[in-house]
Amino acid sequence: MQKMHKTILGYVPEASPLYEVHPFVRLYFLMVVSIFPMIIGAPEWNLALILVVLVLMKYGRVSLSTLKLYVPISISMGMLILLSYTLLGGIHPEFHVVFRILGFPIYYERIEAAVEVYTRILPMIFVMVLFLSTSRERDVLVAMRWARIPFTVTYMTAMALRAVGMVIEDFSIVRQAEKARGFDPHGKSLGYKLRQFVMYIIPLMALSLRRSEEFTKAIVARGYSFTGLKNVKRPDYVLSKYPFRTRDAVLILIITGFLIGILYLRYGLGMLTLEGSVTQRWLRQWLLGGAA
Amino acid sequence: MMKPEPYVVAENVTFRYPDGTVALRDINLRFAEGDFVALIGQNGSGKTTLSKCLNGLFKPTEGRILVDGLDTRHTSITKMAVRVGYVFQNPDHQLFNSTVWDEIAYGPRNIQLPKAEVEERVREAAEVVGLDESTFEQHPFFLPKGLRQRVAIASILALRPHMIIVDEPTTGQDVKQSLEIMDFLTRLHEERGHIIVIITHDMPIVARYARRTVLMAHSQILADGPTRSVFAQTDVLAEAFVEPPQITQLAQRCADLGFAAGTLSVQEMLEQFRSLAARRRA
Repeated sequence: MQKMHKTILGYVPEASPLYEVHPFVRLYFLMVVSIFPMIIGAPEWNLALILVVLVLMKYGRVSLSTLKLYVPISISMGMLILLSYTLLGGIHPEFHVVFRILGFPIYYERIEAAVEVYTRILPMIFVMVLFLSTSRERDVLVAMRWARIPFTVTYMTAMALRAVGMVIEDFSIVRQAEKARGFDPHGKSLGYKLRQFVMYIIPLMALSLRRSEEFTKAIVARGYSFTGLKNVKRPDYVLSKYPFRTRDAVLILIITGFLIGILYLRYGLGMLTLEGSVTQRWLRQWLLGGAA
Repeated sequence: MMKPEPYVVAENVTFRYPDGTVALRDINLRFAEGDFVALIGQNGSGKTTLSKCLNGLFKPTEGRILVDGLDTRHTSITKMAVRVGYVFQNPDHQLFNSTVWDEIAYGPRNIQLPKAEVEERVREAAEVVGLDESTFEQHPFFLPKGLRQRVAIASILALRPHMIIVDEPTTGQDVKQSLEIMDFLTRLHEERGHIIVIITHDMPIVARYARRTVLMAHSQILADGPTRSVFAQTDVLAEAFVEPPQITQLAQRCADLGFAAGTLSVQEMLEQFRSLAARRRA
């Protein structure tokens, strides 16, 4: 069986090509590619970005089953966006009414906007899953230190990430502890599971409170002093374990190139917008029969 | 004399974590009526993983575990919980109710017992662990750690599992509290017939309470037998980086004077010393 690295979100094989890349490149990918959907308005291009991320996950040997966890969240989010844009979207006599629900008009323009927003958010989630599935807590810190981000910020991020890791670990133990007392949520309704969720939350809160107190005492005991955002020079032993290679520089250039290209297409040539997109044409045809 | 029927049988059990780490390798083990077992070994030797396999929290990757005739791979966690109770090392992982009463009653309510029986079991479990009625309305979160540990144990006892696994029962406890916890586990064993398995690094506690000891290292069982004979196997203990109690080590170093290598307590050492002295005088 292949050896795996524990990442923030799960496991990735030690032999994953993505794991070979310098942590800063992965962080840069997250920061830059997450911006793409903010620039791109055309839903089909954002969906294409999801496909690219999926291909990268496959190439990086990241288990795609991780994504299953996000299906309910994605569906709920989609429903919430749709509801807030349509039913709760207000009265706009200038818009086209597609149909009415209990007398409330549902406008085409609001559905279009909901689709646009939703398809902007989805790729961001996928990019984040890719990043968290291929990075360890230490990788994030190495990336930040490599980028000369002030120590205070790195340290706080380190503690936050460590806390997340600990909460995930605690959650797993708490679930086991409740199972050991005969709690079996298997086959129960979502409502039942939500009602029982309190038994996970309370121990997690209690553990987090006790642990944060220990954290604080531990850093004070080790002479921690707040240096503000000044970039105090510190020896970074861990950076020596992560050489930045030519390949990494090339990848940074490629990602930056994509960003510049997208910015040019969007603001230079006026492309990648919702207006005139394939999705918009299809939606109009479907909901308005091409009337608008 | 006939051997008692095993309550738990582990056959060729191997367990791998998702990261590929093999935590258990081809484990064969039996627990039967009358067992009071200590599971010892270094951190990472596989003790906790094995015990979580025994109550069905983890399913073996290979091999099988039968508990009371039920294969843990195909048995619901509710059925397993009433057979093998597992007390976690940190009580904060399992306490979530707003009163001690509700905490202990959670398990029996969960298996849908009638109200009267739930009440009976809560009172019984609380009495066994020494929790008096004044604590019933208190919030478990605000109790001292020793009491939280007792509430955690009582919440498992209320399910009346035949076998109880206690992970590190004495960690973070002072000597008095450690002995109190171990004494009541002994009472459960002797008076109520529970099979007890403790996971611990506390060798004097093992020597004092456990009749049988299972020594683990490198995801395997290195020794399994009466505590006295396991502690007498100095080479095996050294391989597992486990040191027997100091009194046992002293007896082993004085073996040429006639002391038994499996000496477990100061009292035993003293008796041997007196006997040797009497022989010399004679």
